[in-house]
Amino acid sequence: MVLPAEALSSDEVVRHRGRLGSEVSLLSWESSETIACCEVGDLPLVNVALQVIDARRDFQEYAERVHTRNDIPWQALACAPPTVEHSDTFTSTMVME
Amino acid sequence: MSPQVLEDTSNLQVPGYKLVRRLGAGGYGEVWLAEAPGGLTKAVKIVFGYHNEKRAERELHSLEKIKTVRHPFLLSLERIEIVDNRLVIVTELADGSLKDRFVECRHNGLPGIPRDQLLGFLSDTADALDFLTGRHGLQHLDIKPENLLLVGNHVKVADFGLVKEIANRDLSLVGGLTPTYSAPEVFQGAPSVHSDQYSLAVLYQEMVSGGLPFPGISAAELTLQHVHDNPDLSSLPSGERYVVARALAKDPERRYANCSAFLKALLDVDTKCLTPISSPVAQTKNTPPDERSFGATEAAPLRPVSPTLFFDNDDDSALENSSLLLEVPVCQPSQAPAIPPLDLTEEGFRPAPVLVIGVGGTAGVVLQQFRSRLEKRLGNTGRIPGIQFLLIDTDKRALSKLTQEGEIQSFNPEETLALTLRKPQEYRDNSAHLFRWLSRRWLYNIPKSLLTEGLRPLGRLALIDNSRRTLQRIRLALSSAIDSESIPRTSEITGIPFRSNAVRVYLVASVSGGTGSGMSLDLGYWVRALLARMGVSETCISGLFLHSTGREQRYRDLAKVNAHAWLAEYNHFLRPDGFYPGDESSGLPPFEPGQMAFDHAYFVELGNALEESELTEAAESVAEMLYLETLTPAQQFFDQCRETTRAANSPAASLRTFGLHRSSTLSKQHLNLLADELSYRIILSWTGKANHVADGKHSVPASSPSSAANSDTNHLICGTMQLISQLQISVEGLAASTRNLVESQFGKQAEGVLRNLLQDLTSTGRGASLREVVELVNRMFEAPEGTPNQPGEFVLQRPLNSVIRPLVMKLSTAIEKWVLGRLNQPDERLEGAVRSVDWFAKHFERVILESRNLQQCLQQQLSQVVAEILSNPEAPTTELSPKELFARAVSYYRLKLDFSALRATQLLSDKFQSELKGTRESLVEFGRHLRNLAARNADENFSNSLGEFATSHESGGVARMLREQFAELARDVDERFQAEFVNSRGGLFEAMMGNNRAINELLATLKRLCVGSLETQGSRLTIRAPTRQAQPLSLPPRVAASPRRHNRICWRWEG
Repeated sequence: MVLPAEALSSDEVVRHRGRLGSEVSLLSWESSETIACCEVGDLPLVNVALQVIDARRDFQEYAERVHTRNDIPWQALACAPPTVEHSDTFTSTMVME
Repeated sequence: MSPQVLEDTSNLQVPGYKLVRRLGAGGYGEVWLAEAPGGLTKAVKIVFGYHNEKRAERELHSLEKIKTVRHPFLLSLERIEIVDNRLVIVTELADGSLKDRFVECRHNGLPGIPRDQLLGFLSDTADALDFLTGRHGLQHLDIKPENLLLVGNHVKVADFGLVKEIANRDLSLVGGLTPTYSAPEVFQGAPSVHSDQYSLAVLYQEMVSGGLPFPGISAAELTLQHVHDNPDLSSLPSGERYVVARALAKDPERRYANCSAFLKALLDVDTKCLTPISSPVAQTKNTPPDERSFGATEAAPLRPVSPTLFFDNDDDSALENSSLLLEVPVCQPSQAPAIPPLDLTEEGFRPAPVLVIGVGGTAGVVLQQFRSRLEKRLGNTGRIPGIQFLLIDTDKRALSKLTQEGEIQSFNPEETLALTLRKPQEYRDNSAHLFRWLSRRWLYNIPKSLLTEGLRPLGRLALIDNSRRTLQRIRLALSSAIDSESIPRTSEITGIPFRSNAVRVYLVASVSGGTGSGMSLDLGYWVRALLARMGVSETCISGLFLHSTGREQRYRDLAKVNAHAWLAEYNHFLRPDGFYPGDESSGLPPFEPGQMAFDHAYFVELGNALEESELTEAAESVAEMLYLETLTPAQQFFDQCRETTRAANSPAASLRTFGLHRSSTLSKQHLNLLADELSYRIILSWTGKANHVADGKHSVPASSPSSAANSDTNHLICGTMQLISQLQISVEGLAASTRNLVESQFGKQAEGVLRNLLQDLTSTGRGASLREVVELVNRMFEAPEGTPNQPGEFVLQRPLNSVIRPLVMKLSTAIEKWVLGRLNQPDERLEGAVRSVDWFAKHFERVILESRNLQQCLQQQLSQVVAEILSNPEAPTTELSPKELFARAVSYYRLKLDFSALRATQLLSDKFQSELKGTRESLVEFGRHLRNLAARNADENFSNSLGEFATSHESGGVARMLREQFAELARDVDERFQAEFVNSRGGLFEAMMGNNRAINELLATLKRLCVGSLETQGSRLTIRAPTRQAQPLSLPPRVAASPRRHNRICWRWEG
């Protein structure tokens, strides 16, 4: 979390940590805003891809027809096993003001 | 003749054939096994009716069309004759029909014909039907299991009674249809080239599973279902439903290109997806997606002329059918820990030079925002050599707009690169090279605008066609960023010590459009290759891949498809066997498997159906992240996140994302303004008239919506009723109380009083008359000498008013206390008090009315008694025993007593009404006082200040959110104000009616509480934490609950 430098008193740090949990990283920075940032790693790519098309089979078919090049054997994502282990998704939080 | 009645055909002689036995019969006629010359066996069909009757005439007409058609999977016609005025058709003899095979399988306990075998049969059928349509423009229109005859291991299509030329729209089909299998357009008399495909789909479902898509029994039912209802495909495995649903589309144009395409699609269904689904699928509006541009098979050519052709179906209702949806793998919640908290300080922070490459229009917006942040942070410093920009787009006009002077955060021409498409013919010389990777259809369909118009392959074509120029520009930008002179210069401008021999490249691209989605992956590899050649020791290439959809449905769908295709390509390069094959035209060699273009890739969904302004707003979050990541110590946070993932042995460059929540912090000035407004609103709410803030510009919902007001009213009435019961101020209660008071004036019980009076009356030794008794009792309730006689107004010559005074005092005090007590209830206040006063006033009005009515009744009774007595004035008392005389006296006395009590009740109620009127006036005055007080809190600039404040960029967001919560905040503050201030001063009325000092104290306390509440809530809004349940995400984060408000957060944190 980024906190405005002028607003970052020790009380506020305690308050923010109390609210967000001890795992949050705080940064005091020249900013007029408070910014909370959540970083997520190892997204399940297949899920993302299917959710992008609302899991519509027809859209997947369409997608197979708009690949950038036809000299690569692209594979449809629904049939392919996920490349990323879903159980390893990481989430970290940073708050800045 | 009715078709239901079989005709006698046993005596029919067909020349040259001997009818051996009847194979079958139906409404159409009969089929016989016949011996033909040479010992051959044939089938002879005898059509019912005379040859010139309608049915036979129709069949004959059809046969005329089919008799010249030859195909191995069409049952061959040997002869067509008119015998005894009957139509006779001789065909080859089949082993049986598909129906027979189906029945056989069912007898063997199977749901239907085994899929592989059935698909073999139907492939033959499709072949024949496509031949009929393609070569002869004919549709069979009576495809059903009985008409698919088995000959050896093949099917032959038979019975051409309904064969129709599609071009001929004159011939009616009514009467000859088989409703179970007929397509909706056939019922409507307009068969299409796809009608047989529909029947084939029905037939397939039935033959493979035993289930039919439409359950109707009668022809009428089936007709309606075919035309209007959605098919029930639950008997099919999930993998096949989509295919069959499409072949069963109501709109023939939405079906497969032909029957073979349908069969191919069935054959292509992944056998892993053929697990039968036992649970029924909901009936749905089943309209398969538009396929007019994307043909179902390679045989159906693509027509990618314009993106508008890809998606011209706005109807998503087809999606209700789960068979059209893919199964999304379930992700298990992560147990992986987040990174430990970091102390992010400037100390030791030494960023690397940066090259930010933006690809496409959305990226351009992000880069503009990023530059804006730089200028805000560093001032107008001119270009910073260590922070390089390169904005690439196929849209030259859009790029030139970004370089125009006067444009905010404009780019230099050397910071932009237009990669335009050319006309198709201009690629002719290079077409051989291009066609090694590009399908020729894309080349021939370059839009006239020479823009990609959302077509990804055209984005890549633009890149490859300009590869040399692109590589040069990237190389130049990289060189500028890491130049030995640029590092100290950059450090000097930014005040941040940059490190040398390192560079970070950020590639920002929307993967929803043609340009970003089409060229971003290649660009990543190109940058990687260039950096390797330049020998930079420390590099990091990050991709920020954005996805959003716009307002227009067809582009929205294309955007989704593009993003999906991009992810599939990205996934390909992640795979162990996937690798970037290089690019011949740019001279880029292949990369080894496992070598990724990007060290990190972020996939960020900006929102759906966004307006341009909303997209810009959403892009701000990405720019903010870019700024934090490149030029603030927050970089350490992102690095640590990525390092943690890497350490957990996740595949390199696995997909990441981020959520950003930005909120302005309230300044003291803004906080004070909001607190003033909140105080104003609270005080005004005490008057019960605070439905809107008075300035009229910034409407805030009323704190007590009607339902709440009703609830308050009910609460008030309940309380008042309880008080009435407690104080016994109903007619009966008051009459009982006043009766006691009146009786107490006599000092004893009535009987005792009367006994004494009667003794006095009879002490002279003579008997007393009734008249004397009445007069005696009357004297007890008479007015003193010279006072006008008001019946019941006096008791023992004492005015009733004074008799009841103690009761009036007691009850008035209790009622007033109750009324003023409403002021101390934050949810009632003045409105509650006034309401309760009015309620009591009405109550006493009713009491007065009732007591008057009762008085009239009693008056009549008393008059009757007196009249009786007076009618016999001389009747001696001696005629009555003393006991009887006493009873008469008591009875009369009680009537007089009750009358007096009711009179007292009326007087008492009158008194209360008068007092309540006074209380109400006081309350009105109190309300005026409150409004004056509220006005003191809002000076004349109050509204204007609030207006400016609420719309200001800096703090508008928090202010707006806080003001949206004013009703809730007001209630909270009011309750605390009551507990902390009002209670200790004996109530709001008392506190408000104090001197100026007390009033000032009241206002100060209220303001302090408002500030505290706003600060707390403002802080909550500013920092909205992901809940514990949100970590980790069980699914990829989706767009926030309010998908078009992404200035606050890009991704939903579940929970």
